[in-house]
Amino acid sequence: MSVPSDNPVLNAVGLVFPADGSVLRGAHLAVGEREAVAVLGDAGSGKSVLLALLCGMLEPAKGSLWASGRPLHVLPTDQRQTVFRRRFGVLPQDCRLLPELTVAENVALPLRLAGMRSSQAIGRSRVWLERFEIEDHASSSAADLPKPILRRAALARALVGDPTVLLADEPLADLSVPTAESTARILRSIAASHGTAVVVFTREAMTAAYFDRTIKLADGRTDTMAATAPPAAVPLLASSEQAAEFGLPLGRTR
Amino acid sequence: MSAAATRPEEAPESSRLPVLLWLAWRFLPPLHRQDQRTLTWVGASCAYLAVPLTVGLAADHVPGLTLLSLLFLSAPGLPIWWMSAIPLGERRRETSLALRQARINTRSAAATSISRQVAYPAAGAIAGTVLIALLHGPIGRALPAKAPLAIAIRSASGNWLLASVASVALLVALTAVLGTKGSADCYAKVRRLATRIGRREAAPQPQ
Repeated sequence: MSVPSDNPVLNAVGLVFPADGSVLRGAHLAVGEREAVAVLGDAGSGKSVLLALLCGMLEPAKGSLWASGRPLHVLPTDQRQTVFRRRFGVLPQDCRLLPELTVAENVALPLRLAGMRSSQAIGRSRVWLERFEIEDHASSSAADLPKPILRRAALARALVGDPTVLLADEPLADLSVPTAESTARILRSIAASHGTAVVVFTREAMTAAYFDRTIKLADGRTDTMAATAPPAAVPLLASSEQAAEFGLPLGRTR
Repeated sequence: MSAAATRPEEAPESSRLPVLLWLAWRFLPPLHRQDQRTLTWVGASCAYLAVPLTVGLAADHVPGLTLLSLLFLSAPGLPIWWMSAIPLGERRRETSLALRQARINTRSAAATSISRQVAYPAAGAIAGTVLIALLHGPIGRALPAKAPLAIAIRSASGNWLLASVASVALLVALTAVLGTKGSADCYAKVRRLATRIGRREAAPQPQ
């Protein structure tokens, strides 16, 4: 277990959900650039809720969330969602591709929506499929894919926009041991080569062992190793008054 | 080509429109057997229901009894319509979820995924309305004079175009309502109730 980053790309401080803290009662998480971290917790420990809070699908009752020193918790909802879409890649546990499209078209979709030309986007999606060693399936319909291939294609789709943070829920589930090892190696190498902060959520200690650092989540709390102070350059805003001082509106509602 | 290319920026809504339209188009063809079945049943039931609905909308000063008869005429199509609208709604929700996972915002995902849910009932409803709008004259003459459909056709104001458009729009909108999760839950309850009643009737009665 290594020491968490001093200058985190993603920093969650004291996340509570819901208001009574019955699911999460003070989760801390700090992940630095080029770091590949595993959040390890049993079923019902609050992993999926933590992931949903980190990627903006849920709103914390308390706590703050910072991305590259930017306080996301004080941004208006639409601005915050834009940051999440542009800077975060997410692999949900129940990952889905569009069965009407080919694998390459699915992976290229975020790029096409970002305004990239079709041929260029497809070209780039093929590079990512090659990286995940599934380039042979690029032209196959996503409807015909077995789950392990689908999961790696979904990982490629989450990474094709070159996000600063990748949040992946059980990315190695359904994979054979050699494929899981190779996928974990690819994720670590992506963290190193792209500077992406990779956060993997898992309940398997074996999966967690593939990554640089493990943060344990139990009873809605993360272990103390994960807790760090927010970046010194940007002070934590404790109240709406402080937010107003910075000229930032509070955007707590979805 | 390196995978570490420059990070794409968020495109404005207008430039995303062609991609969303392309996606909506790609969702239209039935993908597997279940889609083909849904298209067949939704289309057929909407075509059937479009006939009495268009006649009812085109007619004015229709006696209450004739309206009731038109409703009874629609009755055989209603269960099939409801039953087939549910998988159509489920497919829309699945597509919308997959779109959201591909970083499409909730509003655009909902708007794009609805293409199938509009096209399938619209195809059937258009077929039904075109049929009755073109052939209402011969049908009215061929039916017995006291048949409710013939009475309704005779009292039609002549605004068949407006009635046809309204009929298609109504059927598409109501199919979407029948495809919601609430409707699916309600359908499941109705089926359970029907099964329970069926079992009770099938049980041997004490002598």
